[in-house]
Amino acid sequence: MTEIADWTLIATVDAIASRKVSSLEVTEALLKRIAVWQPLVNAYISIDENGARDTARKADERLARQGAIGPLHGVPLAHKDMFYRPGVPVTCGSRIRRDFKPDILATVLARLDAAGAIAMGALNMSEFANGPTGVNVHYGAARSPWNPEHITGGSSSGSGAAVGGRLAYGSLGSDTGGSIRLPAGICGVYGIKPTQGRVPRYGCMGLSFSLDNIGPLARTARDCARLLRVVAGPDDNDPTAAPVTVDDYEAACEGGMKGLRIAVATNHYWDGMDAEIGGALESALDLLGRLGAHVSRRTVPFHEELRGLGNIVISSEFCTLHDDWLRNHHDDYAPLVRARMKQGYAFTAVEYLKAVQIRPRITKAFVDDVFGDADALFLPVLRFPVPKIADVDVRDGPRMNEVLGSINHCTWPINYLGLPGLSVPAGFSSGGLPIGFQLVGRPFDEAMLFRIAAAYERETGWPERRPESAV
Amino acid sequence: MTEYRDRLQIVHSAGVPVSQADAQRVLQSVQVSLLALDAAVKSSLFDTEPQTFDVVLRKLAKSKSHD
Repeated sequence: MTEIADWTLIATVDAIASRKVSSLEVTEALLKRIAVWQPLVNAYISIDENGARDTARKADERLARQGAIGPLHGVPLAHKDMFYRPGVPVTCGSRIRRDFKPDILATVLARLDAAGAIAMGALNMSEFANGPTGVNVHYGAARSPWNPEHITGGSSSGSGAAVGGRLAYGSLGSDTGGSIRLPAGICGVYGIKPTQGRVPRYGCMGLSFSLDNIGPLARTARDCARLLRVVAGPDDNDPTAAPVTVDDYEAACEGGMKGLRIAVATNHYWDGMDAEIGGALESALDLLGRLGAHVSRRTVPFHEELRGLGNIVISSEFCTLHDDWLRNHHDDYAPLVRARMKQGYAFTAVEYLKAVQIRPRITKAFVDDVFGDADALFLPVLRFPVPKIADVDVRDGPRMNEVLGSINHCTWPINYLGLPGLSVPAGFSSGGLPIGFQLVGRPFDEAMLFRIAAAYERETGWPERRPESAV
Repeated sequence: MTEYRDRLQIVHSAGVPVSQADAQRVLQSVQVSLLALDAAVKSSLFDTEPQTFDVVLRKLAKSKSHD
């Protein structure tokens, strides 16, 4: 019999609702697993054992009194430490905000609360969500549950480690250049960067107000779909949240692959592809084809420009948000974080506004070109095996831009385009570390990405593989 | 990268410490990014019709594209 912590999110919701297990028993099982694995993977910045138990007891009482209240009733989740809850410290992975206690409730947390979720604690992250490796000089690097010498990816590093290590049934992260899709792909789970505006950001720490996105990571496509549906949708507190109807993503997971058109980008994203990773991705494409998809290969436009355009926007906005602290608390930032931020001062207002002004035109041209005859675009997550922490912990040394740029090479362009992107587990390397691919879709067509991912998952069963015991 | 050396003055004038490595990264970042910007903005943006990104995304959404 599998451990409770091995159950999927939806299996756990169903087990609680049918009273096969209580929310408190599930919470205790997870706390037990966290006690063993946390020293190894450093997924959590703080664990709220008493708060989780208390909320779980209340969930059980409520279930007994009136039945399940929502689609996440009684299930423990944990999130990147950047979502505000009144009176609860939120560090943003930083020294500067170590003792910060917000006085507002993030819309996404309010929606998870209403759906019945339990909060287990706060997860590790790159400082201020800046950095694709998962290294954090203040709280220690999060470590891969598949091999703790290796990175989790970032910036939602604790989310990848916790969900991959089965220390939470799901997690919210944020993605400005790959920060959900990288840790998801690197830790062997699903993670979706929704369409810009799909998920409200009220009460969430910002990095780049034009490119930030909130989204879930989870072990299966359907788990991820359920979490996205709970948190997505318009919000009176966030005027940037899109007034667009939220689809039934779980229903989309039941659709088949037959007749769908998948385009594979052959330029940029495959440059310098490692042979083993490339082979695994080709196997995935082969399977998608055998399942009924029409797979075509093509070049995609703007790949040379998107990194630079995104860099102008992110650097300028990150620098804008941190200008005061950078001048007055310079040494409280990690060297890598402040080094990345300083680049933002060097762009003029005209250059920044040009990069913003041209964005709709670039996205329209990209969508018209790529999605005119395709339902989804297939991209790698990483072009090489998951690196060791020691190999990418470059601080602010001379290799910084090169190393960081190589890790987010395949994810970064999608944020400037504003399109949805889903990381999908696609097997394991000979070294036992996860391999993933991305599916990118039309604006607001996250349902299509879940449909393809779920059909692929049914054939492969990758989420069933578990990390080896930590003890 | 010498043509972008004036950008270092902007960074210095912000009042933050700038190391030699910082300066090198700033120059590299500016050069690469402005090349990309020049390539993307091939003509005047003057005649761009007023539009915002969120509205364009909604226009590009294809209803029931997976049916």
